[in-house]
Amino acid sequence: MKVKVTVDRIEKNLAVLLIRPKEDERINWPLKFLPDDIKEGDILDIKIDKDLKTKEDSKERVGNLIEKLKRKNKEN
Amino acid sequence: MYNFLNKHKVILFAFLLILSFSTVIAANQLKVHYINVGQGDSILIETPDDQTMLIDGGSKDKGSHVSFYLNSNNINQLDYVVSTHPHADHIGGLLTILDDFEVGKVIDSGKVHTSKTYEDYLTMIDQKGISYEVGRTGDTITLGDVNIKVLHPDNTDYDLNNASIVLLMKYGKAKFLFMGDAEEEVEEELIDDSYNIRAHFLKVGHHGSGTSTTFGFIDEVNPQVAVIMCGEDNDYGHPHQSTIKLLKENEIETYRTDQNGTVVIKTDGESYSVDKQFESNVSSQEYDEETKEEEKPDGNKSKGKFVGSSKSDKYHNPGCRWAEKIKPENEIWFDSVEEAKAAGYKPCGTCSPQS
Repeated sequence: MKVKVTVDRIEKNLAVLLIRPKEDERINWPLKFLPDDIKEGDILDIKIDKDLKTKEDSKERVGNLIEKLKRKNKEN
Repeated sequence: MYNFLNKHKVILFAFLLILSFSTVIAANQLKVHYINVGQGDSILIETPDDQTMLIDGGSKDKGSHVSFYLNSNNINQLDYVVSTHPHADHIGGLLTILDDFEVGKVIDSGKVHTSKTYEDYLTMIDQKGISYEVGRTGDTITLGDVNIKVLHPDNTDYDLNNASIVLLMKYGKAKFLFMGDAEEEVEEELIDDSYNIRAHFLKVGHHGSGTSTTFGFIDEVNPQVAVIMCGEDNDYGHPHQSTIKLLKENEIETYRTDQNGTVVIKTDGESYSVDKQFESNVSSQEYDEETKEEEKPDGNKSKGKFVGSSKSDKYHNPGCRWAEKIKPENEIWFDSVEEAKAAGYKPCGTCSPQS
């Protein structure tokens, strides 16, 4: 999905983003996670995708770690 | 009531102020309401002859609160609405206000902003046929005996905060300065301009942020009272400690909407009184906290050498980061390691308290 936001203002390290079109809700977004040239008044499209690959990889790694620790405990 | 002429007299008569709250006579009074809208600005001005001006309307979700506040003060129309600049924490609530109240004229910054909120607000002014004017340096608004002058801006070549309309209001001897979100750059320009910006009451610029309220500016304005409008526990660190410190050091009576709620200043042009929704006196609270920190070593000596919490079984050096988390009401003090051990307490692993 896509979220369209207005950069209403920049308060020190936070960009205050208003979610269009209603702008009833706002997000305080750390400036360091936005492109360098962001300015007040910019309108941004935020694209949101699920990263299933990273999720599955992570699940596998964490599952393996738990199994490893369980085995280790039994051996001791 | 406070006198404008003599600061020492002011202090001497501080007790009288408390006594005189109930005796303030309503006639010939100018009332300025710094409405608590959380993080944002909204200021209602009621003149002695019942003319009204609203400066900003808070954020969109606070519009109905401002509307309710105006209603509960028997206000059903506004002669002027000033929107200092297009940021949503200043104009959002005006959407409700323009819809709920008959408005004589809107004075706007004329600064282009792309938010839908600002566009909707302009569209509403257009559709309702409300008179619209861009406020520029030198403009004056006369509300009976109350005179309001626009001190800034003279163009739109500023960023949004610094495009804020700055107003100086005069009634009798009383002067009020409303800074919007103007920052250091504007303060410097105002100092350099030929205008006399001396004012008794300062609405501190930009919610008390560190980018506003310089020493030079405070020196020039020399206010007796400062009002900071900001939200409780806001995400932006408003007000900045440096601002609070500067106001304190200059012995300026400071009120904060996050701690005092809505603050109302009433004046007959000779003297004034301040009503606050909540009694907590902000500036002294801040000051006390600071003082406590500076005096910690001494303060702790009198209490004991080590500190523990009634909620745990560890004892710490007073400077330990865990000790700092102990609530004052849970503190238990020990003079020695033996005393702590005897009470069943164990040494903290982080600070390893030793005699």
